[in-house]
Amino acid sequence: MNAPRPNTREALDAWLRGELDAEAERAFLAAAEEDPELRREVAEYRDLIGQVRSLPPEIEPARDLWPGIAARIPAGRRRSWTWALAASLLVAAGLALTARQGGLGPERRPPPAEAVTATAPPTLSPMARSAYAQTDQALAEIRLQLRRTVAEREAELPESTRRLLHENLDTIERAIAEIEAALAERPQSPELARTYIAYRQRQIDLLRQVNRAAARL
Amino acid sequence: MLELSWGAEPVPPSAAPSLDAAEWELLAGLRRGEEPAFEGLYREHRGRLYGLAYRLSGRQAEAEEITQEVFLKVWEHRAGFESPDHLRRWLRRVAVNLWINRVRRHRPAELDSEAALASLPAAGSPQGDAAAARLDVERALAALPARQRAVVVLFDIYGLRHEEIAESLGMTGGASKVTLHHARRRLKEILR
Repeated sequence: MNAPRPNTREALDAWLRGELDAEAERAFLAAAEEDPELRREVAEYRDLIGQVRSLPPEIEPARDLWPGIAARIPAGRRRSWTWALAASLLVAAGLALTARQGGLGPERRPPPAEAVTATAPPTLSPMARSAYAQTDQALAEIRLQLRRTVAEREAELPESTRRLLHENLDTIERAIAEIEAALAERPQSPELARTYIAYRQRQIDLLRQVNRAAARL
Repeated sequence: MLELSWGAEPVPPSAAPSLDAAEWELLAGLRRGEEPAFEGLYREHRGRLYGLAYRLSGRQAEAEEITQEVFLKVWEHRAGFESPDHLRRWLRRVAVNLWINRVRRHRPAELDSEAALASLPAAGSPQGDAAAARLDVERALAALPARQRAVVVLFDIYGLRHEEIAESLGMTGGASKVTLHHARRRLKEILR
């Protein structure tokens, strides 16, 4: 019979308090393997902690809170939109680059996708299709609006900004296609569908921001 | 609480990745009082901040109010942010402070007493898939006493260290550890 080691119960408490460093944690988990009851308890807690840690830190508010914030900013303190367009484009470029590299962290990382030719929604799971339906129309409208605005005002933009804008629009299109291709490969993945929704939403926000900035130049 | 410095324009590290570089640009615009830059930062951080406020409070309206209040404070103190990381830490700290001040002022009993479990479905109930399991965990978290919930949320979801949690919640590091222990045991009981 494997008698519990005298210190394992204390170690379990210390582990649950989050006190153990990596080395101490490894030693504790190894020791726990030798005690069936402790092993079962540890497994239950690991499962629980894993579930809590897998909850996404980001939750989208049910409504856009920005108008309420903007309305309370003293009007006299607001400045320049010209710079803002470039900044928005930089953010868009950064996000699109991150999408291609899968660099949004483990919860938001689409798997690598070789095919980037999708221009229409690929075959999606019901969840992903629902997400697509909710976001795609809004994105398409915004994209159209952005392109119209830019077309009207393009001549007024500095050459460097114009180039940056077009590069970003192309990059965004490619990023969207890559995410859709990844979804087509794993259509049943709720995590990927959630990533897709979050990504679409962020891109919509960025395009809105760029559009507003361009419209005010 | 605010720990802001008021100095020259912050300088981004040259090797910063592109997304971070974009945040430095937005931060510089914020410091100059440019509303679009402020909006860009709001859009960048709102999900994480609202998520934190919602998980702490368990109330949509309160989470929205806290989120808006935090960003209004960002605008108020815009000249003092030294780096994107400074801003991120500041956002989190102020959100926690606003939440705990609200609870202490209006609902102090919530700090250490459990919310009603009547609406909490049994773990592994009919839906039985990953989404249902996640919902069970969310509801179990919401049922914890506010102080326990805050510690487990900050430690396990937002990755804070005990010292940081202790500072945010006005407790000792030891109390944060013990509270995490109690919270995990209680969560396990609730989800059993």
